Amino acid sequence: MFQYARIPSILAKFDALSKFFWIICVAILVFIYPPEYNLILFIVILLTAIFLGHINYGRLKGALSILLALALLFLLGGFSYKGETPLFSLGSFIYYKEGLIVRGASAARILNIMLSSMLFVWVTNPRDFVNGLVKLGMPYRIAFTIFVGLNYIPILTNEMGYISDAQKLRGLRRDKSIKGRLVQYKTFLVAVLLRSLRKTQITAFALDSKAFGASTERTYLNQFHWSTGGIGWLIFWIILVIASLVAELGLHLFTGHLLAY
Amino acid sequence: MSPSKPLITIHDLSVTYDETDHAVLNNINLEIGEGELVLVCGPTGCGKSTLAQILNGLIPYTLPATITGEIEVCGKDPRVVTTPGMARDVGLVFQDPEGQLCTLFLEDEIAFGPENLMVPHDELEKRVDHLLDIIALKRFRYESVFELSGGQKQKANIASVLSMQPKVMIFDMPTANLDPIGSMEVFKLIRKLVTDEAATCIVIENRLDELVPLADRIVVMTQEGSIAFDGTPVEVFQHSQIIMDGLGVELPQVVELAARIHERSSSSLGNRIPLTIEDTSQWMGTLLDKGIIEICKDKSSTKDTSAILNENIVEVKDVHFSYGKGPEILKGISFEMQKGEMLAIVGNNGSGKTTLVKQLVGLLKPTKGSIKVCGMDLKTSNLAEVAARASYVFQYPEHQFVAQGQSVFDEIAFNLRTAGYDETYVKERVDLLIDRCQLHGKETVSPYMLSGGEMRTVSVACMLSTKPELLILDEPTYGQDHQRITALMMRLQELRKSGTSVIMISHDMRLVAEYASKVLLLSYGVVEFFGQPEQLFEMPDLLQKADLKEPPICALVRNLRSAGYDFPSGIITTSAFFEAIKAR
Repeated sequence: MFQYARIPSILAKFDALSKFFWIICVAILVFIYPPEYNLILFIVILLTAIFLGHINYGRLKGALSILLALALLFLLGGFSYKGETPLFSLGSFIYYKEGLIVRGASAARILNIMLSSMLFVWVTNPRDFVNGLVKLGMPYRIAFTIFVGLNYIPILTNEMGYISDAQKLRGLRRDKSIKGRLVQYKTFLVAVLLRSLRKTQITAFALDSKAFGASTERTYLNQFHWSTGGIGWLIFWIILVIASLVAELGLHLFTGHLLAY
Repeated sequence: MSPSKPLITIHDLSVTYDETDHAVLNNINLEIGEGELVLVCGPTGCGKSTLAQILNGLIPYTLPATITGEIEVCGKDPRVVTTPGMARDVGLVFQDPEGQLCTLFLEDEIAFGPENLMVPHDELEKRVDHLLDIIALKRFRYESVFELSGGQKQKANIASVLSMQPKVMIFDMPTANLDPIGSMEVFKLIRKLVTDEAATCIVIENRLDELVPLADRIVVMTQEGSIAFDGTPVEVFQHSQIIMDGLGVELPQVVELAARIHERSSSSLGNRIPLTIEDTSQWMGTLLDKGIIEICKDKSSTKDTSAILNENIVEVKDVHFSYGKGPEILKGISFEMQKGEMLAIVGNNGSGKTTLVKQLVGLLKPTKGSIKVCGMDLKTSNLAEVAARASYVFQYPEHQFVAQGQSVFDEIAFNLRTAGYDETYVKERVDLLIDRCQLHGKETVSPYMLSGGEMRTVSVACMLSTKPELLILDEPTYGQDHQRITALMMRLQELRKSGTSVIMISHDMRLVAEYASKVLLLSYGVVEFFGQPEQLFEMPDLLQKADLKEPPICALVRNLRSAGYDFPSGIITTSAFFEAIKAR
């Protein structure tokens, strides 16, 4: 779900840094736009994922279900907002229109940033991203440490499954009391932690044994190159950001209002 | 032994880890010359891995330790030069094929080391191309290393070390986690490196059958971390009895056979120790021709089946299983296992062995079909009911530790205390298990602080504590030395006699031949064979199809039979061989 999908597509051919800066453009736009514009932006990103990223239905469905659940949580937070126009009530809790607008705006922003980040992960080889970060001046030891950490997520997920099964068989999950559950979580976490440390230690040994950090610089089999398509794509979004900022500024100067809530 | 041009020179080396008070390595003296293949073996915890990590500088660079004596590797002292600094000289391949992967894609993994060593781009391309040819994984160049099989991952690890063009390659138990085909792939690659590339290799390994014919020298270590024997295989195996019985190292099966014949025969046989199946066949043929050994046709080997009852402990009928909407992992599995049996489940990685045993303890439910274990229908029984009567020992012992890391005693006592036994019984039972599993002196130690082999023993003891009717073990001998394996298997045999049925998943065909009463061969979710091991090992085509390899003795007997010697059928173990012959 949160890993590079390795699907041939137009977006996959774009260089990693152009796509990374595109997320920053999206992050700026969501704070300029009101919820209805953010909804349009969401649809644009979704269509980009389908047509330019060739992301399949299963992956999108999984991502959207997570995003919608998150949006719902945000919207539920509207109950805590005291407005003037009641929409409905649940017992003594009243949900106001103003709450819906404010929380809806936050939800729309978060959803756009998350969807664009997910799309970035699906269509970007993490190696190219790391090499790109190094090109931008990040020390390669820091960039690679992040990369190795990302690689470790699927291994850790598998380990957690094994540990959970193994501990169930030893009868650890039978006590349903709060104290019992706390003991279970602690035991589970200790096992996961120790297993992770063991695995991490092997990776650290392997990194040292392969001369990682032997020099302040290194060479690359796959060097980072900016792609024409990626730059074109980025320029388009930069223009959109600038145009939106100009429109926002113009609106503010002439009407005293802002687009965003 | 002093090679002409030593790449490695060690004098009076002793090593003590900072957190312990005893030396792991004791007074080691060793010289290894260019182009040599040196096999290092010894019991669990004897310091083999420590020796490897000293040579590439991981100790003391990463693991602090007090080191005395002299070490010179390719003209450098690894204590002074850091591990990254030693990488051009010494390449180290670890046991865990997955944990040592540093990148995501195969070509990047191979290029990773030389990239760190500032090798220019064109040269990187050349090295990656060349090594992909050597490891025969060119078609996986752009694939994720995490999607490769265990054997392929380990080959990728070897290539990633070779790409730095080290002068010395060290392999630390490279096949410990691999199935037979994965192990064979790695051994073939080591063989290729030695014969085609004239590489200097140190291989730390306890499974010697495949490697001994390749080795120039064998170094046998003692439990105390010193060198007991160092010499050519023929020289070292003159001391087979001590190596096998005294030091707990499993000999290659043909060497063990020859050693036993030397021991039993009163005739003068010289000091010849054949190292390959072909040599042994020829040697045996000569002994048979000279009448030094005779075939006893009237004697046939039979395993003790008295503990097997005519009552089923496991009934599996047409079981199908898939994870979610994924492909079917089990495709109509059916078999019955009788009480008192020891069933070995064998097959290559991904054949569905672990998925099948997880069904037997109720961790997974079949998508179709039915399973009965200990008389319980698993469709209607809950996990707690099943776990109380059928215990499952996972492959990695740490997964199963639950007693908050307190002590080995608490860990073993956990199941008994959870089941509500009084503390007097708990102590009595735990003491008995500590005694039988040879865990004396470890009672108060945290299980996480034990060696891999000891952790495995503790995990087995934990699951034996409640006297299960069915005990299932996933790779029970992984990471254990010969002595511990023998002790564990003897304990399992005792359990069998007292009514506990045993299922073990194993890649060790010698172990299967020696101890299993039945074998279930799975291949891609289908039962390809279910019957006695003697029958399975007479079906070489089926074994090959399932990526398995028979114990060497089966090939030896087949060779002798082809040469006209009338050996009875069903000889798959050393003891069965000696029941079929008489030495003069």
